[in-house]
Amino acid sequence: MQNELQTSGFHRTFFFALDPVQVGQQFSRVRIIFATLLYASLASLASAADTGRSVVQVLLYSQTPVWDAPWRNNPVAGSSGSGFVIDGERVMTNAHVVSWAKQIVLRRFQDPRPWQAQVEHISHECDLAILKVTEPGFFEGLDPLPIGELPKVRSTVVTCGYPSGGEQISYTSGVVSRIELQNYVHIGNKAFLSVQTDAAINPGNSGGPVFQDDKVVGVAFMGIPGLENTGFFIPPAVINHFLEDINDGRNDGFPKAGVRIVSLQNPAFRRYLGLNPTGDGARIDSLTDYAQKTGLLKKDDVVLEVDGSRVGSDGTILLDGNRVYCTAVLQSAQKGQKLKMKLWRDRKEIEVDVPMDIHVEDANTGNIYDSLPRYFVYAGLVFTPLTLDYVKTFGRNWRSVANLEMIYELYYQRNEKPEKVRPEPIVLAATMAHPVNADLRLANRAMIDEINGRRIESLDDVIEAFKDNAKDQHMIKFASGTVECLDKAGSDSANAEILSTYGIPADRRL
Amino acid sequence: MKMYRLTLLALSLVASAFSVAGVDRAPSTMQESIVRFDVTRNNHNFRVPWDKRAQSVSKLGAVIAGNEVLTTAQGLANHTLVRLQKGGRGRWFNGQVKWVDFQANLAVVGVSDEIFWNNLTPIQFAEADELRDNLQVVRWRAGNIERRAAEFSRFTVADANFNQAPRIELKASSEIEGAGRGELMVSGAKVVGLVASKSGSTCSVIPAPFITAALKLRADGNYRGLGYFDFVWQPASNPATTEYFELNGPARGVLVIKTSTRPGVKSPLKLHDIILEVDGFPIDIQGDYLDPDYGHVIMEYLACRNKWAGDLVKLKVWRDGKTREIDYTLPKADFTDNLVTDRPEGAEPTYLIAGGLVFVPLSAEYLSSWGNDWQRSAPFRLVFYNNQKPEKAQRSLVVLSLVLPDFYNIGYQERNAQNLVLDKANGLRIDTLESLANALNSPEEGFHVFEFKKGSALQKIILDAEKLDAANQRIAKRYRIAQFQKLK
Repeated sequence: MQNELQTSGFHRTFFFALDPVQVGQQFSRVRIIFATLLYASLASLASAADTGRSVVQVLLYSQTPVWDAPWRNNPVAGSSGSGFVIDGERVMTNAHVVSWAKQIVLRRFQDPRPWQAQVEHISHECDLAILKVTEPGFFEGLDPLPIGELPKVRSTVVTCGYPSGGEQISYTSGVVSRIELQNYVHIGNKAFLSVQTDAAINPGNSGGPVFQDDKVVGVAFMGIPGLENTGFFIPPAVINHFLEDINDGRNDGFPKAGVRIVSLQNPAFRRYLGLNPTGDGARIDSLTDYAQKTGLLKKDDVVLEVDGSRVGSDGTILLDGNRVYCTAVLQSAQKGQKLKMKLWRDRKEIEVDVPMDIHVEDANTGNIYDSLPRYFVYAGLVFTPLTLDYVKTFGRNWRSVANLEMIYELYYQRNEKPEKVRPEPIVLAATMAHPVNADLRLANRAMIDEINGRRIESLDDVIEAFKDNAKDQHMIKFASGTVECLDKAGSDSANAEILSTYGIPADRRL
Repeated sequence: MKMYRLTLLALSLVASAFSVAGVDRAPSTMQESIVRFDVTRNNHNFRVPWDKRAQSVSKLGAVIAGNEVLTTAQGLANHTLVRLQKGGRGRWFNGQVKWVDFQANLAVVGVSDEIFWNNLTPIQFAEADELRDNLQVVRWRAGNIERRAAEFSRFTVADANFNQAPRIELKASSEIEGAGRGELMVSGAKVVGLVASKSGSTCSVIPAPFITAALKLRADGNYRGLGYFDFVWQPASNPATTEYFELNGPARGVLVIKTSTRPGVKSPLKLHDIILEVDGFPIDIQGDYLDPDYGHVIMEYLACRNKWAGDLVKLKVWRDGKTREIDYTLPKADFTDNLVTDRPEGAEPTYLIAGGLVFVPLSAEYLSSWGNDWQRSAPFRLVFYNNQKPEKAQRSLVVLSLVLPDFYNIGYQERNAQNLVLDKANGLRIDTLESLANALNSPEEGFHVFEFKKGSALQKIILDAEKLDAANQRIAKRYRIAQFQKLK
């Protein structure tokens, strides 16, 4: 039972996104042997080898921000992945291969020349990106690869790319193991259709194509550490959704209906709703605030069909012979489309057209990319929005280190008390030491409730609250109830000095 | 107190690995005063509330006046048999727990067999000024008295664990292994206190003056239990903060940030009062005061420095630019009214099983069943209720803790149906197991309708009301549960 698109922040399975390979990094002997064995099957992959000409290596230099010192950046990191040419002189790869890019260089099959590329479109939700190469000649001799259909379970697929363990293009083959919704680890809080294969997918394979019959049937993107022979690729439905989405020059993303659909298998519950005890249909258990407002869908509606697909009592539909969770259909809609749903409500079958719109209310529980953190520094106090990226600075077990108010605000407030949700909850991330703030006892990692009596719902509120204060002190009230004050005149005069002492280029990024 | 249960188990294990090295074979007066305990108790698992597991606890006690034995309260909850042995060897005698206070961590045990008391001498307690020098830990070990040197470190107020009243503790370091089971800390011929726990080389000792005061009140029939401060404060060490609240004069006092943690209580304090003095003792900006006996300790101790539940404490506070005197009555350290209820130690778990759905009260015991680390390891949402106050309509909460699989409850056996907090059953608001049992008497048109709190992973469960009794019988039999509900 999954929330549509969203997977719970607390009980989700942890995957390891194929971290792009560090350039020049040495890999363990085990991995090298592994790769060599797979080369042995290359002879049978002759036709895939031809299409491999259109597969490129993506070399990236990237730089990520420091989320608890938001004006700073981490050291530049080098990594690599794969990509492939599609129609319209474009290169497709994974979003995680080109995130936070400072420089993207492509290498063609057996061509030593470096080619500079730019990100044209990127979807961090579904982990796909489109690259452009402006320099003429790059696409010469590279045939665009066509996108195929969803491969059948047990059918053979061949991956192609530039994984770790060597310099040259590499092929591996395997079967389609299963097809279902999986949490996409790049964004972290969303699940989409995904195909599992036992073809080896290793770091560096990310963004490379998965072939069947000379067509691309997927983009390799992640694996699970600790499990053997389990790689995942993004299926054609998700790839095509992204390509259609960007047709108008914009990436809108995946719209949502805002419902949580759960199984309806208990015979008593089915009779309670007037349904056959063993029939089809899954139940709407809860709705988001925005879905409730439209009033089209209601609690205890039983979803019988979505866009023509019959929904089983476990919430799954039959998709090309695979039973997958019905949100796979909801995800096929583009922004602004309407999806036909057949519902059982008040013991009658009805049909509704559900508008599918983009909702980004859960952005702060997913990983953020290519967008520098907002911040405001006043009197050495560093204010920044509460996001998953921020709490991750507490370390791997941030869930136990972060204070309870932060976790409640991030993951529970919206569902329990939508009327109390802060559009942009703010934390005091750090305090840059100076005599004016040296007496603060609570000086970092704390969520803000009020400043000078004003409820803080965004970074702009912080700025306004400090500006509008008539008293001699500023009063900050934290979510825990703790109070800290600052001398106003002292703070105002120390501001510039603190910024220069700690090399903070500007007091704000909004 | 809850937190000690696990410690105790660990200590028992250590005890079995004792070697006899370091045993003092010289005769000692203490051997006529110190006795061994062997306690059998039911250890409840609040996540499988019908399950009882017998547990054996070995510990020590000291003979006091009036043919009684003093020991710590640890390990006595749900005791089924208490046995005592004197002289470190020989015959065991049956004992009766005559008085126990888990908040004070003290208990008094009697033995009706007169023979037991032959050749036993009551201990002599040390006074407040005799607690620091020439300390030794004394206990029975392999039939002999063992004495190990200990060195006084400091007095502290014990960290409030789950809903715990503050208590003064003497900290002393000693090389003694596996202590913390009621050993005597002595200075010469006088008892300085009972060793309540040991962490690393540091023994935590319940000091004698606290024990004698409690025993005296008990003897007078006037023991009221521990009190505590139910307000929350923060240090007022930031001068800008005290200026903001317009406190004149030197830096001092602490800032009240929650006036009462108790539900429905009107506190004499106001938010952002600055507490300057408690019972005439000036409070410093860290929240400490200078105790004549124990040095600088945290002001929480003033809730139990010769004070007990119901006693009056005088607070001097700064409010609206003036000082005021406030009479503050110490509430009893009883947390049964909290949203996450905390019943007295030793209460048996309660539960209600309806068609395999196991409902339990959201209680301190239930959360503690996740272990010492419950704040991190128990489900976050349940832990967070501990930060929330009860509402008028719902003073406590009932949790669907697990589902015993049976085809009757198919569809509710997945993980998303665990640890959900009930909002309503059959349209009635549920705050206790009794209210749930009551609601189950009035099904809605042949169905039992369970609604869980907004935001739950699953918000509604329906059961067939007609088939409920049959399902209960079948499930109780299949899972060998003698009783499918225990409401009190």
